[in-house]
Parts: sequence; C-alpha cells; structure tokens
Amino acid sequence: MNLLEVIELNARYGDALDRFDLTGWQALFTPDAVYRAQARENFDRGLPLAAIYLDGHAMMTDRITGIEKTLVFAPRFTRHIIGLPSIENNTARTPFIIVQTVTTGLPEILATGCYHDTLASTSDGIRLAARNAVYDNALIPNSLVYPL
Amino acid sequence: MNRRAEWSPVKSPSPFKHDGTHRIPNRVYSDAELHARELEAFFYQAHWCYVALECEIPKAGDYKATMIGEKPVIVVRDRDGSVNVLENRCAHKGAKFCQKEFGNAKVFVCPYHQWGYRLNGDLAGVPMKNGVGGQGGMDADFKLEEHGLSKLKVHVHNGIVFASFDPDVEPFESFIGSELMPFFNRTFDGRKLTLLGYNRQRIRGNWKLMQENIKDPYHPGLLHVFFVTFGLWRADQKSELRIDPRGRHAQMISTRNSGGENQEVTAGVSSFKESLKLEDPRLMDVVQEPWWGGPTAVMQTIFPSVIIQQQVNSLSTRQIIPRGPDEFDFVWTHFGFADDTPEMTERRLKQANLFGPAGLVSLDDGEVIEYCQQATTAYPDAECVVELGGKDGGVATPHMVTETLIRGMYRYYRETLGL
Ligand code: FES
Ligand SMILES: [Fe+2]
Repeated sequence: MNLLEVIELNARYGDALDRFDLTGWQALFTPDAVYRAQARENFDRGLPLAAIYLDGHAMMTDRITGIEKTLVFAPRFTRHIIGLPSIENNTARTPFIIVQTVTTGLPEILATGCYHDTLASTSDGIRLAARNAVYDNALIPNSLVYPL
Repeated sequence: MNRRAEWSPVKSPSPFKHDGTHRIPNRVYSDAELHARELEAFFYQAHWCYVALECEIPKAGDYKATMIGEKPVIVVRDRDGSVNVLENRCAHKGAKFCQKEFGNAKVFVCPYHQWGYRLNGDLAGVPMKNGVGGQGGMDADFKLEEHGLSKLKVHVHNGIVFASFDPDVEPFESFIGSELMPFFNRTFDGRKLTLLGYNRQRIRGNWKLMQENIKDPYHPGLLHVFFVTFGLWRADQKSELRIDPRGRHAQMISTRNSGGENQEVTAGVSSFKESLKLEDPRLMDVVQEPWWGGPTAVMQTIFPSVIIQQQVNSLSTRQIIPRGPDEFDFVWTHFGFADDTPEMTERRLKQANLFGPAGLVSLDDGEVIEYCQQATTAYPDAECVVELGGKDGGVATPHMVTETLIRGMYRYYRETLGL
C-alpha cells in the first residue's frame, strides 16, 4: 500500500468523525469490514471483548442511528490526531490521540493508542477492511460515544 | 479487637430531614465526612465485597490487583488451589508493592527493600535481617511471623470471589440472603466460567448513584431510547423485584416480549421512536439459554461493591470502586461459560455493544449519573424525591413501576450509619 494513500485515508477518517459525518466515516470501510474499539489490556491478553464491535456496514448503521437518534450524552467535540502509519503489505499500524471537549469543560484525552488495520484496494481507492482501535488507557473518561 | 467500635455512629447531624427514605438529601452524594463513614461501614466492615471471578486467576500463582473501596488488594491463587486476598501494602514501609494488574508469581517481592512474601501473605524473608559483617540487622526479637501481609476473609462461591476486611463478617449465604440466593445461584451454579474481557470507565459521580441506577426500573423505558425503540424493554413486561430484608441488595427480574399492549407505556413517552428497526439483527440476536428458566434479564445489586448483569446473552460483573465522594471507577468483567459454542461466544461479544462505556444502553447511565452529581453537589441542601410506588422502605414487588429498591437501600443506609 502506498504511504500517501494511507495517510490520506486516515486524514479523511479523523476529519469525518470530528465533523460528526458518521456516514462519511462508514464509507471508508469495505461493506463487510469489522470495526473494533478495544482496550489494550484485552488486546494484549488475547481477550476478545471490545467496547465497540461492529461487523459490517449494517451494524455500523445501527451504531450511527444509536448515536444520532437514541443515545443520551452531553454535547462534545472530538479531535483525532492521527500519526504516521507503519505499513506492511496490506496491514498498517498507526498511532492516535483523541482529545475530547465536553460542553463547557476543558479538553481531556479520551483515548490514545494504535490503529491495527487491514487495508483493501477498491475502485474508489483504498478502504479499511478491518480496523481495531486499540486504546492504551484502560479507563475511559465516562463515555465513548463516537468511534475512535 | 472489636473493629465496629472504632467509629462512633453519630458525628454531624443527620442530613435526612424526614422519617423514611422517600426523600434523599443531596448532601449524601458529595459530603466528605459521610463518604469516609460509608467506606468504613460498608466497604471495610461487615460486608462481603466483590474482588474477582475465579476464571481470571486459573493457575497457581496467578494474581489480580484490585480494590475494595479505596484500598488496594491482591487476589491470588495459592499452590493448593485456594484463593487468598491480601492487602497490597508492604508490611515494611507501606509500598503498594504489586503494580501489575495481572500476573503470575511464585512469591511477592516488594521492590523497595525486597521483603519477600509467600502467596498466602506470610513473610518469607527480609534482606540483611541478621546484619552485614556483624553490623546492623533486626533485633533478635524480630519475628517474620509477625510481619506478613494482612490477609482478608475470602469466600469463593461457584466461581465468583468475595472478600472482607472484617474477621467477624456474617457468613456469605446469610449476607446474600435466602430471598436473593436462588437468582444469585442461577448465574453462578458451579459451571466453569470463561473470561471474555474488561471495560473500565471513570464516572464523575458518587458511587451510590450507580447502585441506585440498577435499583431503578423507572428509568430504562424512558432514558434508554435504544431499548425502547428496538422493542427490548417495556415497562409492562412481566417482571418482579426482590430485595433482602435489610434493604441493601436487590434483583430486578424481567421477561421480554411478555408484556401486554398497554398503551400507557409508550403513549406520550417522548423517547419512543416507533419507526426504527435494527439494520443488523445480529446486534440483538437473542437465543434462549436453558439455565434462564424464564426470565431474560436479571440485574442484581450486591451492596456495596458490585452489580451482576444478565441481559439476555450478555453477562458481566460490574465492580464499583469509589474514589472520594464525587467519583468512582466502574469495572466490567464480561464472561461466558466453558461449554459455550463459538456462536454463543460471538453472540455475547456482539450484545456487549449495549454495555460498557460505549454501550448503546449503558452509556446513557454514566452520563445521567454525572448530571445528577453536578446539580446535587451544587445544591447540597435540596433533596431528591423517590416516591414512585409510594413511600415504603423497600419491599418485594411484582412490577417495575416503583422506586422501592432505592428506598430500601437508604433505609439500610440510615440504619447502618445511625442517621
Ligand atoms: S517498603 Fe516494602 S520492603 Fe521496604
Ligand atoms: Fe440504565
């Protein structure tokens, strides 16, 4: 995979989430992609539980409906700061920091960790065939509303 | 030593302005002195506190560092297969010597001066005990036996582990009580458990608000729009509330898709959005398990330290770890059973999307607990009104339209703290 293409994919990924464009976020995955947000303690110990586990576009749609129509949470902004990918064939590891600002509060780090990706070339460019957002901080400051 | 005599039951005047517990003074959520008394009376004396599932520490030497109240402890599997719970506090100079969350050890060695402890807490050795070159060392009357790690009382109940700092704590069976034991044993009936993983969140709210949340069947059909919208909860579904005689523990037992078509449940409820359906039904692909024996959800509040969840195929313990009056950590341990098929494990993992810090249902709870903390702290002299279902002090009920379990908890609270 081409470094610049992966960087661009990640830039669009963070930009979509930070603008609350969740359908735009979903479109960066292949239709049957698996998205996880998983605590590092689970990942490192081979425990399967993830805080968010979405298997394919339809389940992502349900999560989006949940966020936009049903969940109750204090308004917030997020800012995805995504580092440079380390690429090997069709996989990549990319560090991230996500800062969150809840209503009138101060910014706080929501999560910091590493994306573990499987990438796929499609006619629309490269897409995520799997992304596991493995976060180092076992503790989440209360809520994880939007995908990491 | 009678530990119960160490604190006197009445210090500052009671914040409760009325008899009964249908009004809760806001002060109980933010007062530092009350919080210190709660830790002492509930977490450190007379109660069994949740510390682990046995499947977290299967092999000899496996250990887990956790907390009871605000005190760090270690849960460790001894060589003979028994489980010990030890204070994570070096007997020498008080270092929290075990810094890893999980691991395996033959002995615990405190890094500061390398005092070494056996898995049962006994002090095995102290460097330079006999001096160096005839100089220094401990006095001749220094006895290793007198300086082990403090050891807690432990009860292992069909795979779930509780501990108590209180040597005089009542037997575990009577602590849970005969009213609640049947449903407690329904999940923990001796089958081998498997560990699926953890979720942890820090909630900026008083720890009791989480106990209250799971003693509150008023809110799920109103707050949890996801539940209601996708037909996973109705206030008129077949249900039952159980409570122990003292009011501290409770169970909310319910069976989905068993309710009438009572219009009152959804009419005028702004959170009800009839049109929605799941795009991917696998998110809630419920398969009846034989051990349920009817109910599809049993939520248990074991006071003060844990909530035990069965929501259809999703199982977890949720440990409450207070951090001062206005914050607690909430640790979810998801599990299944050793004889689960791969499909059942997958189902449990998918349904876990509803729970934890990102849960399509549970996320709401963490948020509203913080909202409660924000305003109760700002208005400590105001009070909460807990009168749905009347003003009783906590009774078993064949329906969900009541806050009786919360009133029961505060009856126990007032009695125990002498307020
Ligand atoms: S503090 Fe532990 S050995 Fe000194
Ligand atoms: Fe809830």
